Formats: sequence, structure tokens, C-alpha cells
Amino acid sequence: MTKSYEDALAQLEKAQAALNAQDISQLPAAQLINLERSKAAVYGEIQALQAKQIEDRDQGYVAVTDVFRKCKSDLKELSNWVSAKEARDRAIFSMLTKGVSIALSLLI
Amino acid sequence: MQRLFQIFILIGFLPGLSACSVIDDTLLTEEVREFSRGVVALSAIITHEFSLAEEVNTLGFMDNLQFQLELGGNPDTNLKPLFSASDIAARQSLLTALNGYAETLVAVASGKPLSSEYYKLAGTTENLKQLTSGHFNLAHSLSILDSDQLVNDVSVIDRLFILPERDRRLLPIVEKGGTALSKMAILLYFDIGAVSDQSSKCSYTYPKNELDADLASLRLCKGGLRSIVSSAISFDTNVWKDKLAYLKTQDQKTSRDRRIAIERLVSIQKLGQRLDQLLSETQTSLIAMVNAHDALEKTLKDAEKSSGLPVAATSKSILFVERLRGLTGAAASIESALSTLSVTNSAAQNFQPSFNTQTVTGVNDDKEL
Repeated sequence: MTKSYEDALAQLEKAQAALNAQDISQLPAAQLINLERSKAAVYGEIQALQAKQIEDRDQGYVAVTDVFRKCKSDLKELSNWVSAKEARDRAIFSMLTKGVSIALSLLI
Repeated sequence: MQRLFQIFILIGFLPGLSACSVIDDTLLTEEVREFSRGVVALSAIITHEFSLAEEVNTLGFMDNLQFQLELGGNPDTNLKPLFSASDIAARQSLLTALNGYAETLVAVASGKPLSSEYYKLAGTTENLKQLTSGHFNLAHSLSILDSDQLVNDVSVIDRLFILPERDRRLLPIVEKGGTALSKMAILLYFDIGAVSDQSSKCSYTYPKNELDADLASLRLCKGGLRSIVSSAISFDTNVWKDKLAYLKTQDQKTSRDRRIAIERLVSIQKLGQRLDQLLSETQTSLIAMVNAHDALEKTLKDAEKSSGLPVAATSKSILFVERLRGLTGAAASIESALSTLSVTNSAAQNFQPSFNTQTVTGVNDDKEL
């Protein structure tokens, strides 16, 4: 279902909160890099939406920054990496999974 | 304190001076000057705040960039400003018009020719007509209809700059200017916004706000400059939180590195609190500006009826300026703190990663930190 810009902003903030809540000490270097890059992309998209006067708040949302659009691959890598973990290990990364899923849902 | 002392002097001497129209005129001119000084200072602070927001955004960008580079990443190095040139120009037009109005009042009050004021404002009045609600950050709390109405109402102020000769008296200008000034204040109040929802209605609609009502009664939803600054502070704070967590995994890191990270983590949060306080007090100052203008209008009306100058009205302008002086100092102090954080950015982040710093693509990367 198409999201409005207002819904998208709320979802991005949820994704950001979840990504920020993830304990990064268990992340390998490459995934930490992906995470930091994704966080920067989500932040940039939030600020772009906040600074921009949306002409029609119910208009269908399309990502407004290139950086957020391009971070889809980083988010997918994070998602694939967690999915490849044993089930008991995946629980450690539940916040990461939540944040990544929400952010990816906005890029479909 | 000196200004407050002036109020007491005025209170003490006014009853004795009320019969003397020359001195009353002087006092009236001084009150208009005080009001004008306050408006100009308030405009400067608002301009400064947008610039501070950009600096906070830049600081977060730099901190994130450096952390990613330290981790061996390949970050996007293009800094995206928060506001476009046209966004800034629109606000500048509004603030220039506000200043122009205040300076016009001073010129009329002191009997000076208005030609120089008109010359300065010629471009501004044109710019005001070009403004649309899309130039401002209002969608968080206002419908498009109300936003458009607000911006249209604001553009009315340009009519005050082309008054015929016979209307170049203070009272008619102030009477007509009051509505436009109030709308400008409301527009800027919404544009500065809120860090959190101030109405339970925000989750599904716009809060009910009467745009002709007292500014103090306005209820906003999260958004505007305060929310943007809060997001920027939160982003940078989280970069430093991640750095601290990362440092815990690095055996060779010293307590000095951790102390630096902790200091930065705390400093940026304190800066955010001070900056939000400044923005909140700027909104209160917008209310004070409207109240001071109302008091000025009342003073002028009363002055037409009698030769006395109400002290209460005079004190509102002086207190408005006093408030602005405090804010100007706070803004300068925040800028200084922000500059210190930016300058020490490189030194504070001089962490050497323990693993290979070549760009990592994320494939076959299960190297635990």
C-alpha cells in the first residue's frame, strides 16, 4: 500500500529509533559500516522530509534523497547477514532487524 | 539592568512630564526606537538560528563521516544542507520586511523622510508577493489552506510601505501594521515549530488553532526548526554512543579515548538543550513583540486623547528589548560552543581502528570486532 509522506516520516523515525537501539558491540566490521551508512541515510531522509513543505501530505511517498535510495543495498546486506545467523543469535539483533525491515519497506 | 533602571526613572518622572508635549514626543519616539531595536534583534536571532541548525547538521555529518572512515567504510562525502537557498531567501524576505516595518515606524516617529526606507524595501515588497506557504515549514501543524491564508495575510504589510503622504502618521500605520505583524509572528512561530506534539489531535489531524487568537494559545505538532535541530543533535549523539560501544570492543583503547568520547557525547546533548531553549524563548519573544506592538498602538491612541504617555506601555517595549539582549548573548554563546566542538572534531576522533582499514564491502565479513 502506498504511504503518505506523513506516514513515511513516522516510519523513518521508528526505523531510526530501532537502529539506534541496537547494541553494536556484536556486529562485525563490515556490518557496522553498513549500519552507520544506513543510519546516515535514514537521518538525511528524515531531515529532508522535515525541512520540505509537502504540498499534499496524503500524496504517495517516494524517497526524496539519493542517499536513502542508494542505501537499499546496505540494508539488504544487513538483513541477509542477520537472516543467515542461527535463530538464537538472531534474537540479539532484533532491533537491527526491526529497523532494517521498516526502512526497506519504504524503499520497495 | 540599565534598561530596567530607565523604566523606574520613567515611572518616577512621567506624571510630572505629562503636560509637556515636547518631552512626550521624545518619549514616544524612544518607545518606537526601543520596539524597533527589539524587532531588528529578533530578526537577527532567527537568522542566526537557521545558521546554527546548519552547523549542527554539519557537525553530525562530519562525526559520522569520520567514524565510517575509521571503520574502513566508504561513506557518501556530499554534505546536504538542511535548507535550500530559496528556503533561506524566503525567510530572509520576511525578516527584512519585519525590520523595514520597524524602521519605518522610527522614521515616521522622528519625522524623518521615508524615501530611504522605501528605497531599501523596494525589492523586499516584490519578494513578499512571491512567497508561498511552500517556502516555510508549516505542514506539521497547519492545513495547506491555513498555510496559504497565513502567507497571503503576511504580504499585506507591503501596503504600509507605499502610504500616501497624508497617512504618514504613526497611529494609522501602527493600526494597519498590527495585523500583518501578528501574522508574521505566527508564521515564524509555526516555522520554528515544536520538538513534540502539543496536542492529542496531532496523531490524526491538525490541532485547532485560531490564527487571530493570542499566540500563547497556539498548539503545535512536532515539526519545524526545533524538530530539525533535535533530530540533528540526536543523530550526532548516536554517532558518539556507537563510538563508545565500539571502543569497548577495542582492547588497546585507553581510558583517555573513552573520556573524550564521553565528553563529546555529553557536550553535544547539552548544546542541544541550550539550542532548543533558545528556539523556545525566541517563540516567546515573538509573542512579546506582538504584545509590545499592541502596547505601542494603545500608547498612540491614548496620546491622541491626552498628553500623557502610559508607563505600562513604555515598559513593554523596554522589556521586549531586554529579553532580546539575553537571547542574543545565548545565541553567541551557543555558536562559540559549537565552534569549539567543530574545531576539536579531528582531535577528539583520533581513534585508530584495530582491523584492516581498507574499504569493506560487507561480503564474507564475519570478523567480530
